[in-house]
Amino acid sequence: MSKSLRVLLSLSLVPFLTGPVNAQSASSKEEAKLDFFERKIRPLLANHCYNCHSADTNSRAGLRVDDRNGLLTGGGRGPAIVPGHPEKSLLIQAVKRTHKKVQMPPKKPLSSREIADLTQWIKDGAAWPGPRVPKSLGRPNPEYEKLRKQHWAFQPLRIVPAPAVKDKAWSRDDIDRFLLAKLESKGLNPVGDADAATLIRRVTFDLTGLPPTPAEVASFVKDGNAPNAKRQAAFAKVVDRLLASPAFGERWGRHWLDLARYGESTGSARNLPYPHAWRYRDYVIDAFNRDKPYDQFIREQIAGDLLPLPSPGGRGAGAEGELQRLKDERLIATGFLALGVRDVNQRFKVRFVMDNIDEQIDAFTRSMLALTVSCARCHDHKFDPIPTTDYYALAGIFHSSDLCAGLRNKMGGGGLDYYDTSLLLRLSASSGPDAKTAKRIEQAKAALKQARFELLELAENLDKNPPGPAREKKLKVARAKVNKIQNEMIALNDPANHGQICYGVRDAKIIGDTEVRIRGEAEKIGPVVPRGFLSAFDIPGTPKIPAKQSGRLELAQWLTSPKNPLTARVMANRIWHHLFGRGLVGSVDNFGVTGDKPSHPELLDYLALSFMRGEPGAPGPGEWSVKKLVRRLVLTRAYQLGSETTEAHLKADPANYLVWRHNPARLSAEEIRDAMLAASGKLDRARPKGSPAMHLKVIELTNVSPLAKKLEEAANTSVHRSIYLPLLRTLTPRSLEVFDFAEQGLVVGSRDATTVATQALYLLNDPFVRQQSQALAQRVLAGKGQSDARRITLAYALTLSRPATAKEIERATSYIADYENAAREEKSVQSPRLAAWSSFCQALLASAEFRYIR
Amino acid sequence: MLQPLTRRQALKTTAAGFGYLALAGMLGAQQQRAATVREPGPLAPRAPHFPVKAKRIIFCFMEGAMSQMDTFEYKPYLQNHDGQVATGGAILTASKFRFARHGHTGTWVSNLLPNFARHADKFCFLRGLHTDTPAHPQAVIQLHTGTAIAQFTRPSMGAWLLYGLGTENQDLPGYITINPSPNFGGAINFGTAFMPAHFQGTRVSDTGVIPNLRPSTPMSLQRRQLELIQEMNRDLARSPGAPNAVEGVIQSYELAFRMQDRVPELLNLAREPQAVLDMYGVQDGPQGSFARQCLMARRLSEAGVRFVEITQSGWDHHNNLHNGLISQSSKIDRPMAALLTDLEQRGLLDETLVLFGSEFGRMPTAQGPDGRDHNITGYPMILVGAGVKAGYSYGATDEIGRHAIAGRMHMNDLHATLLSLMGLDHEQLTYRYAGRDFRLTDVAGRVVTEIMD
Repeated sequence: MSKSLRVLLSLSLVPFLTGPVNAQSASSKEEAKLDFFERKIRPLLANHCYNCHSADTNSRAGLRVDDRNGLLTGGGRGPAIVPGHPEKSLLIQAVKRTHKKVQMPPKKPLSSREIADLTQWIKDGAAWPGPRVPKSLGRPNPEYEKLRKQHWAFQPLRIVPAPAVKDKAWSRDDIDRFLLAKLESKGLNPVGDADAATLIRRVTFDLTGLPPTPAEVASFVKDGNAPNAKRQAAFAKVVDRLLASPAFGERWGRHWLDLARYGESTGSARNLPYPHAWRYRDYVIDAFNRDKPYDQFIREQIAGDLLPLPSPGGRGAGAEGELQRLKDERLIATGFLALGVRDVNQRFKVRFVMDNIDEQIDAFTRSMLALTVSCARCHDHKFDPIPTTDYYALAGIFHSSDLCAGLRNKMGGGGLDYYDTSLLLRLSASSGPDAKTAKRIEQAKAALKQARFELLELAENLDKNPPGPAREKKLKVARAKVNKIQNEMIALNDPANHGQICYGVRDAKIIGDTEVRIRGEAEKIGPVVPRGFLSAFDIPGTPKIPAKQSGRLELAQWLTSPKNPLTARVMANRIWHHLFGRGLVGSVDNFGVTGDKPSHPELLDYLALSFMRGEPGAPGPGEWSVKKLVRRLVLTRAYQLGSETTEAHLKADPANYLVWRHNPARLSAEEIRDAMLAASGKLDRARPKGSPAMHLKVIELTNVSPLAKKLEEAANTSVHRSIYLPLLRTLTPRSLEVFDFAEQGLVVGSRDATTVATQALYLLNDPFVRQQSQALAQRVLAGKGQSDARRITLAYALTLSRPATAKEIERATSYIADYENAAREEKSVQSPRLAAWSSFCQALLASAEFRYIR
Repeated sequence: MLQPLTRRQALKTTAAGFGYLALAGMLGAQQQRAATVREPGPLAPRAPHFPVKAKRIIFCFMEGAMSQMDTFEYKPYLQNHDGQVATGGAILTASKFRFARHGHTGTWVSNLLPNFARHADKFCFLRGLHTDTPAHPQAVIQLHTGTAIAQFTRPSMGAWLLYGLGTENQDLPGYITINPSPNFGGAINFGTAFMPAHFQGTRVSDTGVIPNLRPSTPMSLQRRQLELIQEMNRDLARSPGAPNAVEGVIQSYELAFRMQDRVPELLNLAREPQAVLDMYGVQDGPQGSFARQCLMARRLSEAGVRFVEITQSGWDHHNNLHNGLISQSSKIDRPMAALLTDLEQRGLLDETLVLFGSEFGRMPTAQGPDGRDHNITGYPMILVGAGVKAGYSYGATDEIGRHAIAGRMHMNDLHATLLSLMGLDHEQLTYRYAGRDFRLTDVAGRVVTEIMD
């Protein structure tokens, strides 16, 4: 935080901290008002209203009266009180029974004395004791000051030349020299290079998430086992081919979707679909394929709607259509902030809003900065220099933005109750309803009014609809009628039916700073904090947030400033993690005090700088090219090491922090499924249009509903790449679930790789695996006039990317023969020969070798 | 800088934690590697923090909030003030069901649960429970994961137990949930959130189906196939630079093969004598769902499954309270009684803790002509069996049963107490995620030692 901002902040806190309660002047008046409240008003509210309108009850109509903000925000009918204006306060109209519809309490009216007290209280400003503000709030913290100066991650990037090494011949790149120097200092040498077949399988999975074809393996093995220079040239060709493949974006886009906690439904207490989420998924894939500069990628996701567009006719502007496309793309990018877990069943709007803001802050700070800023929601961060005031400085930015996920909060809603079409973003291909539709909307409006009136009559007029068995039936019919017309209305109004829409954010109608919430409780309002960024490090030239904009644009600029010490480090480390199996900072999502320290701090800075600037030592305009960094890393000698171990190495550095070998890695769930489809020949590499979830209505989805079954079926029968499977939260496709798919509610920079029996059961018995095994068997059996040995070798090549050894051919041959014989004894087996080959192919898919790269 | 593998890394990369069985015996393999010293897996039994009072839990979850006012909470004041206006303006509504005293303890139970009531002397009531939100979804999630903030998913209590204690029977999953809620958080309620997936609950349908458990080919053929897979795996394990986890893969197949055999047998109720089936009231269809679940729970628990949850939903009686309660109670009364009898007869009640209850309770006041609204400020749950006092009641609500006034227990306190009974200190049982040590009980929780035997 800049000095001036800090001063401003401390100034704004002063009146609050000294507080109106403790202040000398006017304090007795205030005290009297609070005393009046405690003696007269609170008991009155508790006795007559809490039963239906408090945090402990269902809060009928969304109203709670056990909290001042609850009264101010009000329920479905708007604010319940207007301080200073009893005549404008719904509460007074209701208790006086002058309001047409709302008359409270429902049974026994308040006494005139009580009404007079309430009126007086509102007239006097509706005094309510404020929450106790912690003494530490806004005070400088010496421990924080120390960390700002000392914690490695907050220090500026340092330009460090590559160190000298003893073995001059080994390195291909300065990156190798950084690693080798450290190894040499510990008296270790790197192990030998990986053989060609291992290497091409490794790099093809790492870059595209798919196995190499047998032809690709054969072509590389020809040169790949040649001497150094020739092999490296051949390898560079392979790498460039992979980087240019659309599969690159599908693999690396998925890494980003893990961070973006991407999901196609709200998850949580009520699971509502996000039918248009796939547009964000496709945006991410395209961004990686086009190598969109990472800083631009971030700016678009935080503030795509606010980024200046090239002026028509100006430099960089294309045709009108191109401008529209750019606008749409940037709108879709803000889906990052919208697609998180949302608890729409939250009764209280203020909690819904603050919980969503928290989710947004958590998502962007952990994915882009590797900091756990949301710890500061309730109290100053226990470990990192992130005071609560920083959190609410950021919260103000998101508080000034509308979360457009098409959802409103409501307790116990049914049908389309949660769907709010005003919270959707229209893309350029959208138009409003046509004249005919507009007329139908008017008609439906009138019909809805009538149906609602009828329902109210039946519900409240006990003479007309007396208690008894008939009552419920009548109510049910009337309710159904209201729902039906309501659904018609929503469908007629739904922008999704008039063109294309997406999710994301936009600046809100009301822009402004927000208050600290004491202990993170949404209703407990503390002092206002000016909108701003983190104070853990200073970034010179940080833009000021304009009064009339949310500040997301400035936040995006702050995040992507070349002086931001975290953004480039965090992403460079993530790329390293995906290629080397472990980040230079092991805790990829936590660069804070409790995170790991970098194993090679100089190398990390070197990579971060290279990432931002393009080639090292050539400072120029920002580059932020993910593809270039990936390319450089896989072309290092270090990436191409074999995975073997020696006793000495294991003793000195068992976890391979120093990168003396390549870490073997379990394939991800998507890679395992995609590799099966690739082996069977069934994989459709084209991108499907949208998602199986795209036609879902925004109605709660339960895990056992026919719709859920349909989605499961769609997932089980899909032959597209796994990134395109329906990804509704808590309905994770089985093929992904069993192999540690990312928890869709959390920022996941590093997936688990567990080994459990359910995986074995899946590989032995799941219909999908069985189908792929059979298809693979048919594929290897298809070649006419081939020897079984050739077929076995082909099966090995398609699954393990290597030829079978003589011993393996012998084993497989006798296995197939024996199995076929045994299968003849089993009546349930239709075609013993195909069954035997399928069983052999399934064994290959089920083997440990299939799911590991070395 | 160079640290040995962290406990978490070890958990993730080593085998799935079952003992190294003699492969030779089962698979006829001759080429075993010399016996290797292995790290204990993540599901291997682990030493508890305290002496263990209960080895296993069976949680009978009454989803939707069973009306305690019509079953277990007898309030003379309420019965005598039916139809009168209560503080807050609502109308008191006495239970229409007849309460009577049961057993030596004279415990009040209504005539909705005549069979269950026969066990009243074993009940350990927690009568002063309270929770944070009166909305089912959040409350269900809080009951299962400790937090009502449904937006940030946390591990379920069963996952915490597995993380803390490991699995007792290495041939079986350690945590099974039968017929779980299809909504209200769904899989979150038996998920692991940020913990590795092997701690999650295995979902079983109320007809005893687990996905992928049925062998897809005749057993004799699959056995051949398994031998081939394991030979390939052992080849890989012998090769230089093999992934550490290959050993774990080999064992995962061993376990899978045993599970295919063992688990369907355990879930197959036809193995039980007719007298037992009759005692539980086992039958096909929805009416028999809870009876089947109770019997499966006993069989699984007896076999060493540490945490079994069973669910009867449909208690949300905002209207149709009277007939709804009669119908619902008829589904659970005999099965619950049979479960307790059965556990007792088999001597299992000394090591098994049965937890019975809902995500919150219902109001002593009327909602519409025949309904009760949610009550989160005072409601009961029942514990029976290992580690808890029999015929005991802890805590109380006010004279109408609205607010807990004594022995108040928040969900965090319930969880702290359950963990303690299982031998775990809720403050020590932490899991580091995003730079913070998380607990099932967040930053709260009091172990209620008063109820302990």
